[in-house]
Amino acid sequence: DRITSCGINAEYGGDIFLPRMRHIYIASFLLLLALLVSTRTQVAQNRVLVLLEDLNLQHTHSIFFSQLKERGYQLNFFSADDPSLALTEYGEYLYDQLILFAPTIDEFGGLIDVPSILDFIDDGHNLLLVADIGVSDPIREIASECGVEFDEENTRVIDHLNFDIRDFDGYHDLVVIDPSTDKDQITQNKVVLPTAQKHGPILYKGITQSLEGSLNFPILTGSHSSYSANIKSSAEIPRTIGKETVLVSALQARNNARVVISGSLSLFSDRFFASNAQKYRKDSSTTPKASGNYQFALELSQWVFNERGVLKASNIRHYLAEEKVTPSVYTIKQDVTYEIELQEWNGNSWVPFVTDGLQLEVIMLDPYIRTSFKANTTGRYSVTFKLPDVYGVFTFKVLFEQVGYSSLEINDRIPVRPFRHNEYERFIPTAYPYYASCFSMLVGLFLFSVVYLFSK
Amino acid sequence: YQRRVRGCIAMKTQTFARIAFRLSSTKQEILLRIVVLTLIYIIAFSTRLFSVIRFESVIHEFDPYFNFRSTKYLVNEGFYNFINWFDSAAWYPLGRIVGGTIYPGLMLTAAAVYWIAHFFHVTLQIRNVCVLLAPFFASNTALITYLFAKEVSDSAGTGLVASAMIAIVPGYISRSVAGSYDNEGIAIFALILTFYLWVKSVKTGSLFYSTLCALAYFYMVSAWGGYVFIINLIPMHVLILLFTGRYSNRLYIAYCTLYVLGTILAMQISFVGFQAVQSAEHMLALGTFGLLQLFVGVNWIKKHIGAELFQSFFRIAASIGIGSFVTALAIGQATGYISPWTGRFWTLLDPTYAKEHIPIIASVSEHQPTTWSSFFFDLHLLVFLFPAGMYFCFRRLTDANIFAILYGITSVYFAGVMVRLMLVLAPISCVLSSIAVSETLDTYLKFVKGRKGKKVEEFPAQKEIGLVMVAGLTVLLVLYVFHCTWVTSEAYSSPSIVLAAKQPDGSRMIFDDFREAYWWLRQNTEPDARVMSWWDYGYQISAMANRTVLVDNNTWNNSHIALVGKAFASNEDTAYQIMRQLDVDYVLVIFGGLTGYASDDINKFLWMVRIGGSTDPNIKESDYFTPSGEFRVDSQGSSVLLNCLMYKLCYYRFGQVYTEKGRSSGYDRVRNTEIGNKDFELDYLDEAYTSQHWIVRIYKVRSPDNRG
Repeated sequence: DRITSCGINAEYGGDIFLPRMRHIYIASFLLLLALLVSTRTQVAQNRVLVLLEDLNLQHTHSIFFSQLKERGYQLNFFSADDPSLALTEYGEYLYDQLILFAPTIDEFGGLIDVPSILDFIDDGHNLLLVADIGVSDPIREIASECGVEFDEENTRVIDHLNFDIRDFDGYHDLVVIDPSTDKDQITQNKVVLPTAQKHGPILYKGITQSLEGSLNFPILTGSHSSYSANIKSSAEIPRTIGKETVLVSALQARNNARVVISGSLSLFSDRFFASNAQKYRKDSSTTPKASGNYQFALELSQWVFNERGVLKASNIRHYLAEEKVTPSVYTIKQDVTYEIELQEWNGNSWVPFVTDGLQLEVIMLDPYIRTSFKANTTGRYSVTFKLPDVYGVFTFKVLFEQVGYSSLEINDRIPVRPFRHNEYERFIPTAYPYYASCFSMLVGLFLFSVVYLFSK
Repeated sequence: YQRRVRGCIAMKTQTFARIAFRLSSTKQEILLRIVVLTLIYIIAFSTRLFSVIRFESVIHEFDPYFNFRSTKYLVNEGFYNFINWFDSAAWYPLGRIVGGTIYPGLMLTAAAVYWIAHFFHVTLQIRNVCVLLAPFFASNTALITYLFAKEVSDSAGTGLVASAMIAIVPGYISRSVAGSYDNEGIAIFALILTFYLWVKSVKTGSLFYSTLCALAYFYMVSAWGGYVFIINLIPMHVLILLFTGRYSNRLYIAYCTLYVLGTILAMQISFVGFQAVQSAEHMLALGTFGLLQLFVGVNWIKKHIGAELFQSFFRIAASIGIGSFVTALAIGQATGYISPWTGRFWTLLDPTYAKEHIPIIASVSEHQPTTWSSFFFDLHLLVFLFPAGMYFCFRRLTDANIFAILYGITSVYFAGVMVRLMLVLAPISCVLSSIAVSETLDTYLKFVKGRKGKKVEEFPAQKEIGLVMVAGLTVLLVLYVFHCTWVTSEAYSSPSIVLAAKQPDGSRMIFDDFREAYWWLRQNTEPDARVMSWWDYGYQISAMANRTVLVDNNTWNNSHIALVGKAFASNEDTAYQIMRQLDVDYVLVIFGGLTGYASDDINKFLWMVRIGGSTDPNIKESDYFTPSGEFRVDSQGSSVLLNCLMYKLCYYRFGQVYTEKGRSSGYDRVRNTEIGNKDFELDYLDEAYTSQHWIVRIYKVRSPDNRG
């Protein structure tokens, strides 16, 4: 379970001068407090390892980090090549989340390397990976293992139509995405970004990426006129052009670990958070607005650290619709009810999750039944169906996969057997001629015997 | 055995009469007969115990493991749960209705023995009951053969010889050694019992015997699919008797009772059900039954009306009768009411049928045509005595003799078509041979002894010729005994689940890889894990590893087996799709390249290709051959073969192993060649377990890549 209930660390130092009785009072009070707190479930995944290329980044990106701290995360800042680094100790993970703000690091320090970071993800933890122009090989490798290929060295996104007005004389690589007008450039998914679409323009300066994996999805992309190129050798044909230039993307792995990959480090910087953004237009039709980077980064970090869109299924039951009991083996053509309860984590507590998109499949090689659940407002889903007239091992499959939400897959393998010898209908109308012939034969034989024996 | 043969001789000639028994000669004869039969009973049992003594008391081979597993189920769960048993651990995800797809006779017999023993507080283990059931029934068969041969030849001596012969004939031992817990073990007993009672009821015309015959037939139906042989052979006998003018009311009573009762009883076995009246295999019996009624009816009418009137009546009646029968049959066949002949049955009539049409039948080794050498190997002396016995039968035809001749001729044909039907031939060759032996001994012992009162020899050197003949025959019989014992000990007493090999220094080396690997599966995988293997190992995995299998030796669903065959024959990508679709957790292959165990999956592989290709035309057998049409696993082999799943699973990491002195690494000791594709990694599977001698290799199917 990713979300577990957890009490406060009731570390009782003890005061040696206190009388003995008070010890007990305090101890029991603390215990009570611990119990009270532990009943309120809260995010336990608050240990964050932040690997920085340069410890100065703490200060240049202080707004981002401080709002994380405000949300209750314990941030552990380390230089990415710190020789004392380790993700695990005695087989236990020391951190729940990983932030990699080290785009150009050539080698990680300590016990951390690329495979260990990938294992961290495969064991269900989340990663915020930030690259930038001149991204190094280890970072490329991690991204590549997560289905993302960065463009070549020293390339950057350039957009001659949508750059910030301050970049007029530059390379036009300070790109502006205005959520209010460029709706196709920012994900409209309300789970990943609930409100960022309504906020100010987003400033972006960095490398582009292309998505290779089937589980990746873009969050922020370039416009039709954007492309990726090396400013030193502009003669080259751009590698990615138009909408293919993905700027920020996400991956939700099969084990529901989340990875967000950004091609820009400055996206999260205090400078971009605080500055205004204004698209350059010849006719000066745009006005400067406060940048939306802060809101964008905030919501992105909430999603990647499992504060939103986490679902859990509970009270999964299936039983005979009439008898309300679950047999070890079902019989063909029985009416079965399947029940499931879905809840969503809203950042503080589990709340009912209601959707009309939840389906049940009854599969044996092929789906025999595919039916929608009916939900009530408490997140309780139920459906009643008749098992097909086919025996075999059926899989009751509930699969819920929607972008942004953690995916749910529940498979129950249930044998469905044919009728027992005494479960068939005893007397069927079509057999009456046969019954009649049997009994007429009996009577006939009796009459014949009588006639044969007693007639002279 | 020699003692027994001499005993027979002695009985005929009554040389033992001089021995100081104060009994009348009849009583002495009975006593001797009992002693001889007791010895036969013991020897028939004990000669089948080689495997238990050499190895241990285990169930052998493949099918017996299913029978054993279902017997345990029967004993634990009771009869009604057994016949309603739906086995969800086999044929995943289709499942198998065990109760409706088996002949339950074997399990019920074993369970009955078990229950009876436990009723008397003899606490036998069910495994030991199963292991020793076949030898026990072989002893019973020997007794019944005595009765059968006695009935056929009207001579107790012949019966004893036949009984002694069948007790040790290899053709029968091959299917009835201890541990070979299979249907055939009890079916031969039921077969001979039915035939004995049939001959008896034809001879006596007794309702009692024909009813017993129907019951014996019922037991046979419950035990083995080979009952079809009975239900065709007996009508043939009836027809032949009818056409040769040997019809009698005895025959009418015997056949009508057997057919009506036997058919009703056979329908009680749910696996047979309505086949007993609908399938083409049973039509001869029905037709004969009808013809017999017609024949009797016509005779009755003939008795009542004049001959002239009868002529025209007969013509009309016969044409109407035959016409309507043929029409009914044609309509039945066309509408499918009478089911078409099954593949196995076609194979019996046309040995090339299966090879062309049904690879799944052709792939079973015991369905292969018999080679000449195996006739001698399994019957030895009987091959030569068989025609002689036939000759003696023809010399003095009786109703019973004709039956023996008919049985002999048909079973020789069937044994020639399918190896495993040698089993049906063995009893009748014993009976016919015993007729030959005892007739010959009868003739020549008279010469040796010289007839009382007749001093003059019929031809010169009569006594000497007699002596030579008797001695010669004795020597042959002794050789027969030695041959039978040797074959039993060398060829038919290995359990095939435990392998043994001779080492250079003469000591025995045991390969117990199968049980080792199955036990690993049982101990280390989730209880509902699904294991994919070729169907040969399905029964063993379910019985020993207690895990769910996709296909097993009950080859009822060709397309499911074809899907598994396709998975093994495809490259890893395609195979992974199929394995995901079938929810496969583990893949098990049998590999002999390290030990030289020849019946491994690579040698069976072409059948997987053929069977897989029977449903999916993309799998072509020719792709797996070299351009010159050879099946090679070395560097010359076809690239499709060298990259298919079966090849990779068998030879994974084998390229680094040195198997033989002076050879490069990766030298396959079965194919005697260095493998062609040595360095490869598996993309979708992980090696989970490889047994000590690499015979069994188990792989775990990876779940899809976490990051896409």
